[in-house]
Amino acid sequence: MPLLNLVLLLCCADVPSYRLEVQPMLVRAGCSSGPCHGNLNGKGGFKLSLRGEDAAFDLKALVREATGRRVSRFDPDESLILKKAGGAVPHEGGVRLAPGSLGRQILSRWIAAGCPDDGDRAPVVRRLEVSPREQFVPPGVDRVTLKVMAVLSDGTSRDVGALATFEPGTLAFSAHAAPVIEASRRTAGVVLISYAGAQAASRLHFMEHGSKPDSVAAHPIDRLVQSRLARAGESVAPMVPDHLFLRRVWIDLAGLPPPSSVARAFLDDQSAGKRTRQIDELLDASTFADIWALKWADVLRVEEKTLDSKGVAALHSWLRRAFLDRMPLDAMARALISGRGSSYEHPPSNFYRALRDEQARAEGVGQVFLGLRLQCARCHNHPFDRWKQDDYHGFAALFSRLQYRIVSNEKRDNLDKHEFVGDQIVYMARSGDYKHPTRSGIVSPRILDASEPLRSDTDPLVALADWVTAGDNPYFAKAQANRIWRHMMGRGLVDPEDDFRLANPASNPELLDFLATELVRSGYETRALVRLIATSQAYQRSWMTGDDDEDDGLASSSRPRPLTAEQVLDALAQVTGSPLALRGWPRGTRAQQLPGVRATRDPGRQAGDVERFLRVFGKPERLLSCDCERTSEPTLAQTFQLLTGNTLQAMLARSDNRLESLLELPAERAIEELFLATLSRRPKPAEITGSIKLLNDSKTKREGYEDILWGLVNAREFLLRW
Amino acid sequence: MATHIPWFGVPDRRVALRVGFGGLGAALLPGLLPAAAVRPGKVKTVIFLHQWGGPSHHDTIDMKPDAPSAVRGEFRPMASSLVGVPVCERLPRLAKVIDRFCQIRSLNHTMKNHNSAGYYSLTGMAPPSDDQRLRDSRELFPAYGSIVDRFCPAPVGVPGFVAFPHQIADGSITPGQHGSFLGKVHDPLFIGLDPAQPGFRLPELSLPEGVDPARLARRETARALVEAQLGQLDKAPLARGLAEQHGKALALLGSAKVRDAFDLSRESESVRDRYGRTTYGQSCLLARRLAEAGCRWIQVYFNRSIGGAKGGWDTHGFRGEPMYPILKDYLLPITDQTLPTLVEDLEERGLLETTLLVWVGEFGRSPRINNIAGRDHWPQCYPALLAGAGVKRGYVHGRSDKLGAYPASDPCRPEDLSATLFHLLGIDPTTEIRDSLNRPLPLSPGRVIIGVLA
Repeated sequence: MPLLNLVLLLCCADVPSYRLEVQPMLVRAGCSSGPCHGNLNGKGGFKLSLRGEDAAFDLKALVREATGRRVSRFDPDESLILKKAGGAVPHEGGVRLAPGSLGRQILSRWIAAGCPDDGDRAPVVRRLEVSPREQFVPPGVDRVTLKVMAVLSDGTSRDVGALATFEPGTLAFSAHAAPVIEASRRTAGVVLISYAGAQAASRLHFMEHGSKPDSVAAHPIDRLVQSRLARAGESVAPMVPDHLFLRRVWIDLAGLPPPSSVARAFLDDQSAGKRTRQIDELLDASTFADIWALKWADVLRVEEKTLDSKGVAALHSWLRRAFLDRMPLDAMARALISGRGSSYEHPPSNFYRALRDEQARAEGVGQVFLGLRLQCARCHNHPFDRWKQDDYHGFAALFSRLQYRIVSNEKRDNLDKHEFVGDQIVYMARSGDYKHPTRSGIVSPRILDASEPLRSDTDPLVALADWVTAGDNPYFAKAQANRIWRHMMGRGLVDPEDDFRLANPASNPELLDFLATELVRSGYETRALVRLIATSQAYQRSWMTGDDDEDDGLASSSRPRPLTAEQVLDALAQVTGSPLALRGWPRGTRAQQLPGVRATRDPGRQAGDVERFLRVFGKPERLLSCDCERTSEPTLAQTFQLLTGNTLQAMLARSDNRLESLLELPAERAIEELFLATLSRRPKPAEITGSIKLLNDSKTKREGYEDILWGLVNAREFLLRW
Repeated sequence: MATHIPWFGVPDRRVALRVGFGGLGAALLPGLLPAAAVRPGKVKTVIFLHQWGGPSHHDTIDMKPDAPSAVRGEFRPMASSLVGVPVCERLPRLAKVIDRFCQIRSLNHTMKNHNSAGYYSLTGMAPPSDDQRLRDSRELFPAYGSIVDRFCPAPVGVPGFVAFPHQIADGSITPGQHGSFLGKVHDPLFIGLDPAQPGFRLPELSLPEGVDPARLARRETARALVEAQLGQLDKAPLARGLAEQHGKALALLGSAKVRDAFDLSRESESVRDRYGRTTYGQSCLLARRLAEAGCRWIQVYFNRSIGGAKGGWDTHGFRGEPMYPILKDYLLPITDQTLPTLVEDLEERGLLETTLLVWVGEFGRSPRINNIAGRDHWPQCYPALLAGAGVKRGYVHGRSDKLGAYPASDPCRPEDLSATLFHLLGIDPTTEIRDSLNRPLPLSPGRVIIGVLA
């Protein structure tokens, strides 16, 4: 194996380097992983730093602890570390460094040399370079050899394929024989490679079929989607029929199924371009602002306890107004990031009213505006990305002068420090240092990626807003374009949508670049990007049999997904003709228009049926700056809500609901009306005859219609967005 | 897409694989790492009796008769079935069966507020701050039962994690009572009703007014008409999962097994009387029935509120309610009726072979009796009682000092208890799970308390 020889040559030259060879080898062998000696308590009395982030700590553990018996300079083979890892004595972790292996040789020679630390002279790894960074692997080939070069601070570079740690992001890949990666099934995945504090990633796509010739598509999104699909050898699903398109675009753009009259007219419309006309109508409707205000309110933590109901209403209506008035996203971001003043008079300042400390603010700005999850770096260097602890705390220090002047606080629970009732002024104090939470000393404010701290005479939040919204910011436009893509397609190109990082690259980087450019070109207008996506064939594709559970993000087909909590409830109210009765809100207010988490304006009231319904279906409490707080996984509790719960039953049984007007119509006409209202399609012959039979079997006609409608809304065609 | 259903424990096919290695860590040379984290444990079922409010150890099972009167209190110890291990004279039945238990007397932590300490006691994870109104968010750790439901689900048709008869709160809902970032599929089957009430039954298993089984059948016919038209779409994984769930919900509605477990009227009057006709007593009886049905984690909350005349164990003496009358007339009698009955009943039925009973609060109470005749919060030292599968009988682990103020030997923290419980259930406590931000975290950062293992 030439690679092995090369490394051996490198190492044989002199004593193995602790920093560049010995310690990376322990990480590679898995010794310092979380379930093993990297555990908080170590394992079997032996603790290493988690994933080798602290080389000095590990050296001490190896050489000094356990009265030095882990290493035996005079007879390296007698070293406990080698006996354990080599399987000579029982080891819970099994054989990690087999006799004769490269790791074993490195460790053994290092021990024989007296376990020297070269921390003061070893070069530092500047970066890792992996090739291929991406590869489409043809059928029949199930392994790829990755070449990993470490570029060092002394200007040299070396092949570290035998020393680096390889971590596939999918269980379908095995790194047993790293740097060779083997695939047990044909799928795509990312391999994260780390070595001495540096990281790189490679995306491998083990293809099921050979590449296909690229077809020429008219729509720019389709060109990019299809060219990638062609390289991957994947075929595309057919376009969805009219009724499914109509229902899909209504749910995605308006949050509701189309009313029966719209469905009837659309299905009967034979003219060309009716899909695009429908999209344009929905983009102009106020429901568009409702659903985008709701989405943003989720991640901006618009909830009653911290903002109080007045602050919740202020920020929510500001957001809704922003989407009605087509405020560009960069202007919105600027207003929120640099926002201050009275939380009642100047709604964007509620962004900071909700985020009570520097760390929550730093993490919130990262997730909401930049698509970055910085949290890991709060306590240690990010294990799966390049962020160091210093980057995190420099970023958090930007917010340290932000203060609140609490004008009044008439909270109900004096012991609750999270509760505020009354106005607050968010302002920038003249001073306010950020102390490093674990080390002593003050951290200077520094924007991510900047090499220098911020000048002390600049307003840190204005500087931050400038940086975030600058044309060359590498994160903002991509993160926002990705958020919009995810809303429409159900999966981000980077997924989760707020987790851009090295080890989680975009499934289609060219497409993400294009969408980000288009977003900027449109003046950061959400509608423009939504329109671009909605008019593509990629958006209008159907589901395809043969797709497995995992979505590879290439958009070859559409996957069904559950309606959100608010969508289910609003759809039920619309199709039964029983508007929600929400205390304190005008009749007809929909769940998607609620500004906060509560469904009642009376803060002292217990959660009622509506709130419970929404919670069961996954409406978030809005305590995190993350869309992941909203859940969509189907649960048995949801099934029981619809099967035996009060909410649906009350809507069906209400005497003045839609069913009352149907009683006058001929049965076939009434049944058609119900199908159009719920499923946006006309009933099929079997459904008509079956429904009429049910009507005849029922005690009363009214009861029969209630039961038919119950059947429709409990059907998966209704509960899923196809 | 997760199609795992909490009541039925159909495991995600990937769970078994991922368990041992914890996500990305797993991927690090899978197959070479330690054996898979879940193996058959000694314990099949845990009945977790949570003593909300924080019981006084000085007045129950860790008495200090030689301490000054301001510490030792009004009650005297009495001899028990365990030589040299006396129990409070107000717990005579418990004294008779204390040889069935393994006591830990050296639990300790630093959270002085109910919600932060309560979260700690329900998850084994230290809260981010000692916050009287710690907010319940998906950032915080899932309940023990949710983890158990995730890693060793109950047999098909049986709920893995059941909690009743209260949701506990102190001003705001106490975190740690649900699945949190593990997902709503691992939330407990929660029953917020009083099992001591006549006609107690599961609302989920009751049809709405005006809908009899015949009408439900007609509704199902209507649904089936539409479902039959799904065609190809029926094969989508999410669609299949939803259909399965609907079928299972219907089966539950129609089947007797789970419904019967919740039907306390199937017990004889004498058994019901032995447990006491209180909410807590009948809840403990329900817990035994659910253990028989095969549930994995059964959580019974002593009371919904921390204290007061008919509340939990928070006996500060506030509002002119001194501690001793409450202990004498309410807390100790209810405990002495219920706990010994449950342990005897489990033993008689052979359930102690596979069931572990845990009795623990969120903290203990201060050694010194305060100036309003109560004891205040005391997390620095407090006890737990364990009985059943996997633990020693008639054993005391860890001692408190002569005032019951601090551990004098073998100090244990809530995470050590959690590591021990997971270990006994066959779940490796170092197994990593991913939180809502995909960060790897161990199930428990503590160490197994070797001393209590049988």
